[in-house]
Amino acid sequence: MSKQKQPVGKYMEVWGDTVVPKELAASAVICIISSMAFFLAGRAFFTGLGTLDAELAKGYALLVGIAGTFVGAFISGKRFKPKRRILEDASGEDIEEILRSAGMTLEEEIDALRTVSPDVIREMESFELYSLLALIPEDSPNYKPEYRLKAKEKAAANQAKTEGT
Amino acid sequence: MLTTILLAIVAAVAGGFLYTIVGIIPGTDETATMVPTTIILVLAGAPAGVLFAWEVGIIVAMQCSHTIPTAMTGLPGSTMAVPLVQSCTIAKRLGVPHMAMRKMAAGSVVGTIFVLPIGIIVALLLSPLGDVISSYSGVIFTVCAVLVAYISPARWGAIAAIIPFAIFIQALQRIAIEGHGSTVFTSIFMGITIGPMIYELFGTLIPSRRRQFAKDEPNESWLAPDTKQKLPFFPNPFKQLTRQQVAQCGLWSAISSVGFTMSPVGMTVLAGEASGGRKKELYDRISTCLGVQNATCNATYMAGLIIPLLGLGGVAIGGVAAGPAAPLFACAPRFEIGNNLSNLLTIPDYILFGIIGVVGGALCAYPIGMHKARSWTELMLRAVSQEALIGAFCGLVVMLSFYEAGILGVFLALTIGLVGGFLHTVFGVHTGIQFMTYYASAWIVTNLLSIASVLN
Repeated sequence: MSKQKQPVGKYMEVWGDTVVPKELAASAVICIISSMAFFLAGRAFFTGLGTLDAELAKGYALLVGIAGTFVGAFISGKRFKPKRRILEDASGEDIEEILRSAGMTLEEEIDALRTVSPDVIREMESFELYSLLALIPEDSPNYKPEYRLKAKEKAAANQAKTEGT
Repeated sequence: MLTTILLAIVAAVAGGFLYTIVGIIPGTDETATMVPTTIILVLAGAPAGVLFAWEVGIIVAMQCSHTIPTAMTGLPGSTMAVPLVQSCTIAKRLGVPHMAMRKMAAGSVVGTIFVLPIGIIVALLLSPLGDVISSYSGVIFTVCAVLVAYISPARWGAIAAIIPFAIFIQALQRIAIEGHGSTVFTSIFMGITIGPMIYELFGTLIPSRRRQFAKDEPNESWLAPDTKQKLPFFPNPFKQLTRQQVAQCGLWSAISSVGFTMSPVGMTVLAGEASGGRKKELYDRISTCLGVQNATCNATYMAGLIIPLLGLGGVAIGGVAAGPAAPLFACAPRFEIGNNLSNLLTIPDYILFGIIGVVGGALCAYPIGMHKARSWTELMLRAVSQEALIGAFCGLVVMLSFYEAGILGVFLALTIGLVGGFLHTVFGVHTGIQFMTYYASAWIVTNLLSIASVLN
């Protein structure tokens, strides 16, 4: 081998998630072999019985085959671990930032909160969405002073949590 | 009859459980996951009622549980969950992913409850047309293929691709007749279904492509924190939505019954824009949008299953009948257009087995969505590797094509998968257009041949 191999990243993205190509190939081979082995064994067994209609016997063999697929997937799953990094999302994000990503401004949201139906407000209370509720202006029938207090408490609690970690 | 009912209950509950899990695994495609198992049940000779309950059950379960990873990580749980991602991400950033979860799960159950009667009524209104439609199915499939192509992102390119793709399919059918003695269905259908994946797998074999698409780091997923709120085991879905949201769900269930031939994803996007888009307040907007969108998701699927079966004489028109539910319409040697589930079920059957399916499907998915969304998402992300998942698909595809036409079937599936996957991924001639073209291909090629002989 005279040619130096270029360094290639370890992972590939297939069907929306990262895989290691070698492991993917191995997993495909394992599953194909186990499915086919179960299917062929099932077919031999059910046609060997001689009491079943030929088409039906093959159909039952497929059910055995799908069991084989599960066995194969189980073996591959044991051998090859997922390549995902899972991170905990406990962000106390800035409300303006979120509104902007939704294509809205803070003023628009405040205006909308002024007139939104009490049904919606009640739901927001039950989900403790104080960061939005605190924006309700004082001249609105939806306004309650406790929202701003609770929003502050929540923000402080979040702050403490982030500092703690 | 009693055995059929018992079997239907077992099928709906088992299918419901299985597809709850499939839905929680991010990115799994409905057609690709539902078709293989349904083919197996059809070929194993399951009674018609059992098949209908199974299909309804797995649709309800998956449409409910695909919301779980979408809400918790922002990764779509299935293809149909893609339109939900944006509002879910906002909900997650606001710190209320469980709100998104509940709205969507409740929406899906409410949508199904609405669409079952509405779908049956629309089907009965259309049913006088059923015989006419089945005798002109070739032309109708061709027209549908052109329409689906026109509204696709590839537009004129997709329309231009219809004739070559039809010729390609019929050429493969000739090879199948040569080698196997008859035309094939499963191999071609499975080939189209897994085409996009075959194309990507093929890409991993090409050194230059590998260098281009290789990554040094695995994907990162952000998981939302849990909630402490307590709920009953099976919370009333109507109480999870405001009255206005329930009304919107009902309205959109009716609209999707009428527009069952439209793309389900397109319909869902439309429902979201029309119901939530006009709301000015952010929370109101995303909660309405999510509830109504997932109700529409479910409704288009159920309508797309019931109306072609009951109303159109079993001609597989629309994205569901030509997609996830296709084996109930055509699945050689048991079913073909003109002799399929629609000839085996009566109206009371649709109601009875439909209800069994809805209950069986929701039994597992709905409570998990309401209570265990976070822990199950984490479990799936940590326990199920993408390698094992794709491997399992490869196993299923190879087995099913081998079942139909031996090794030849496997090669046919790979061939059509590579070509179809290329058209899908590179040009946006998506698999929906390819399915419709498959149904239209015999008519197109027969007429091409007669035109050619006249002009000679």
